[in-house]
Amino acid sequence: MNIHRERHGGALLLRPEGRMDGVRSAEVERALAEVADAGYSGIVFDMSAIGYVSSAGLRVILMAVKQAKSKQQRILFAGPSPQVREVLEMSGFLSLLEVRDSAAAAMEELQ
Amino acid sequence: MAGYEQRGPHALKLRLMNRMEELEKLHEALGRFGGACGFTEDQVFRVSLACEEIVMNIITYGYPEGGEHEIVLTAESLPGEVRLTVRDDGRAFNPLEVQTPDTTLKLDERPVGGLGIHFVRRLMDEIRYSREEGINILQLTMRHEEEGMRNEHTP
Repeated sequence: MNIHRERHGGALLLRPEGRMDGVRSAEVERALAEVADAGYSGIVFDMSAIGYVSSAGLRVILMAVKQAKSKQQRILFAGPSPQVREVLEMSGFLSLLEVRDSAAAAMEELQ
Repeated sequence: MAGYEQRGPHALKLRLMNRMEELEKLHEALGRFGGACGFTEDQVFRVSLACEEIVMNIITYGYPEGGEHEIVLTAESLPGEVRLTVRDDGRAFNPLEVQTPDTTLKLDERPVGGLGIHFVRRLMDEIRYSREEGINILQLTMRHEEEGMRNEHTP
């Protein structure tokens, strides 16, 4: 899985590409662990290149939210596809996460 | 590819071992199957998600004693519906008896598990479970609108 990282001011843009399934979600989990102590003020988790999320992927997303909360960072989720949005809806995650339409809008909000 | 059998354009039989890495094979096979059947992106997504959750559940909880086991998935595209059957020799498990998780809990109260089976129940129109001679047999049916299919069984 390709995971693109980009710094914008004090915030981090994280853009995983591919499926967040039972196998590949572990790579996103590792990427999140790597940035945990990098001192970012906030994180934009760009979902626009994620075509698929299973409950294993949601576990990692939930972990990301808890990690950000413990570091007093804001984490915004941006640009989910209709299918990914449906998974967020079915799981009740839409009310737990701050979801924005685009990564650009989310990043602007964190500046 | 080992364990992969596309039986004509509208039927698939897939043998998976009880290892997480086998999910790669599952997704690849279902993607091809959906392509051959003319599924929409959304239909491939639903079938893939339901199958991953069921198979992951079997791999994670089905074999507390460990060892190598085979999980057999068949998929069949019929006019107006897709039928999926998953067979495994793990411990008896009826997903219909699993409690629906509370999806309204706040962040700190959220358990990490339990969502997979909930998805399967939301995505599928019909779920049947039986246990026959030590084998779990789970049959899932997803119905769909005909116009979603591009080349549905035209002779």
